[in-house]
Amino acid sequence: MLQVTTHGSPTGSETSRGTSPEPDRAGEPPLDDLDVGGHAVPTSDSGGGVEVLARAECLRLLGLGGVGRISVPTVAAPAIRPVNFVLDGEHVVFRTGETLLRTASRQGRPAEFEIDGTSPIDHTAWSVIATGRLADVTPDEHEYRLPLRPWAPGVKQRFVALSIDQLSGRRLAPVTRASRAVAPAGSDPDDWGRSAAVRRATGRLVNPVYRWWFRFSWSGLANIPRHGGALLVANHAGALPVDAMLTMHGIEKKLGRPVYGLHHRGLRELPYLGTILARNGGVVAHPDNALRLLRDEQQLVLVFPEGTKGTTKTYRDRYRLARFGRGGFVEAAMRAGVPVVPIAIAGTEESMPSPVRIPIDGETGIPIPLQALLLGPLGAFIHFPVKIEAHVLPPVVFDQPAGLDHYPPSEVAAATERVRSSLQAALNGRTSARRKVSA
Amino acid sequence: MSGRRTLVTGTDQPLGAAVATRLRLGNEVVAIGEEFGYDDVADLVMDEQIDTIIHAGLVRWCPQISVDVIATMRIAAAASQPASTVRNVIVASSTMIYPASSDAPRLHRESQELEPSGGSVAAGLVEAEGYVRSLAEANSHLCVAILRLADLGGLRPQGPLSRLLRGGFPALPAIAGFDPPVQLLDLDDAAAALDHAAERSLTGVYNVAGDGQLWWSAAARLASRRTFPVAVSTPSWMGLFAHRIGVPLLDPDTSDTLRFGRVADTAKFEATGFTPTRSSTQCASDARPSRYNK
Repeated sequence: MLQVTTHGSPTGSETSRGTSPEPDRAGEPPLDDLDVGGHAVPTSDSGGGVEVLARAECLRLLGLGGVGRISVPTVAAPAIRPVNFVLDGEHVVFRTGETLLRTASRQGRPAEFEIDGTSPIDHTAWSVIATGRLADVTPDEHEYRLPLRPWAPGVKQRFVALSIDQLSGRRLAPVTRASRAVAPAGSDPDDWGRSAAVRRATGRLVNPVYRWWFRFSWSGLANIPRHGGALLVANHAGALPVDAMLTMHGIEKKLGRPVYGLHHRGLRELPYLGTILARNGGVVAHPDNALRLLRDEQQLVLVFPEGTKGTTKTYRDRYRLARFGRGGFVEAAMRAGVPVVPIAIAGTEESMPSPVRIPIDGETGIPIPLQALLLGPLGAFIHFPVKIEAHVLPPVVFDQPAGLDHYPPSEVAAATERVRSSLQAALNGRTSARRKVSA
Repeated sequence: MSGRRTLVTGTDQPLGAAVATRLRLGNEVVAIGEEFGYDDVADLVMDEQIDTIIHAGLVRWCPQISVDVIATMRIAAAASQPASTVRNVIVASSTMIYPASSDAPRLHRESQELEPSGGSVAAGLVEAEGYVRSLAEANSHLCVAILRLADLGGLRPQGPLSRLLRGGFPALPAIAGFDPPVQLLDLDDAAAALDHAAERSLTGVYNVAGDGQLWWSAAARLASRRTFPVAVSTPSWMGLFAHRIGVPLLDPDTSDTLRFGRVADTAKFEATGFTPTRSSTQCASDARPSRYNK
């Protein structure tokens, strides 16, 4: 915490908001009058509205730093100044060389601090207002600890802290109701091109393979929610992977609810195959698509974050998870406020092992499966009848609030890593158990 | 609302003509088309004391789609000149600004980042919309709205897909192995949407399309046409050459649309209180020959 040195006695207590009957009155004026492009934004019939932000969310927005506006009372009229600032605990800290602000802070004056953000295209906007008292702070130890550098060159500036006694924030919510651009629910094929009829037909073809060839077994299936959206994250293996087909078939069979599988865009470009994938629940992996499925439609979405890095690895790297993507899908789950459920799949690495691969660059290459070496190119379509076990892990939930339009990249990376490490740990456990059984 | 003095551009084309016809009731309308040339539009705006500009001439649909960036620059300059009486500027753009590609999101939103390749229709639209945005940013007293209209269909089809549905070929081209979702908008609904935006003094960018989406195969069925599978999409140079010699080959954008489709999220415009009278499905069935070949 800050070491705050207050010079002078607290004055102007009559302006304190502590006794105000409306606790978040301070946040009201800016947003109610907020115009985009000089004209009122329709909010009453927009399906959106004004959202009152929780204290934690206000602090998070303040924590992003940047430039805010500080308003201090003067004899003539309230003065307002833009400052770059950081949040330190419960204090907004900024630097100033200006006499007006220095005097106010020396006298411990009350002040208001405001930050906001707008998107004129989306017609979304937020603002946060902190009310408190100014104080001089001793700069010595904070100078290097706080990431607060003066933007104006060559001015010797002092540190000033505003205690956050009151905090309020508002957000103009964007339109969130379902668009009439989408097909009505229950149409076949649905909006994504998934057809329940095609799915049933595929199920009849896949089921014997699922049951007798791979003897697919599940554990921890109760971890997949019966209702509401969830992002299912699994490991990907096999030069011509069957894991998506089997996992989707298994979940739909056991839970009786559809699963959408995110796939590489390149597959959509293939004639017929792209359409067949879409009819079977395949959706091009794009964070917007994931968000719509998870948040607006509350569906189950299966993703293999390793992507082609998983399917092109050689047998030597089996059950060693490749690097995940940029975390776009974990971020989509965060934004949608749905859990991430890791699924460790054991067996797919042995059903089509690739001893070698033709390297393209450092990370990918064309894998040559053992079957192709033994039987020629057509062999690449035959999987060994390995028993496949899918182990569903407990859902990973995030401590980030849902519905934000921006998440700190560090949080997304950390969450992605948590998902990845729990999946890797489960894979290590599974494979050693399997070895014991076979030995 | 009555008493507006409106300048409508692009009235040599069906969309502009429909807007001008619609506005004639209760409004003073100045209509200009291609032949006017847009050179003197600034003087025209001053002389006629125009308060609303509906720029329906951004996209020329016939005989081939082109984007009139220069006209848009002139309109923007006319609206922003000092002492101008203009208060509302509504620009009819197109959802063709969104990519029809395998990695595009399934539903396009107004806030999406756009990076079209050079020379395409989308690139022209991005450039033109850029001028309109600068106009809005530099003139906070103006209400500037951009309406991205879906493929214009109905009884007077203008959009490339609607023209295929209505067109004179015996069979409807479709790319083999693909069945994309498409979205259509009735021409009169488009005119009504532009009027609505002017009346409500809307600001910002909005997608406008008929309700729902439909698969290309279903659209062909509704229009009572058989599809003719084209094995591959044609390279762009071939399409351009074919156009030049008058062969109706698919242009690159249409062949992309017939593979991956293009559907825009219309929730934002719906929230302003506008409901199109014809859905995408109805627009496709409007292309059925029996409706106009009587």
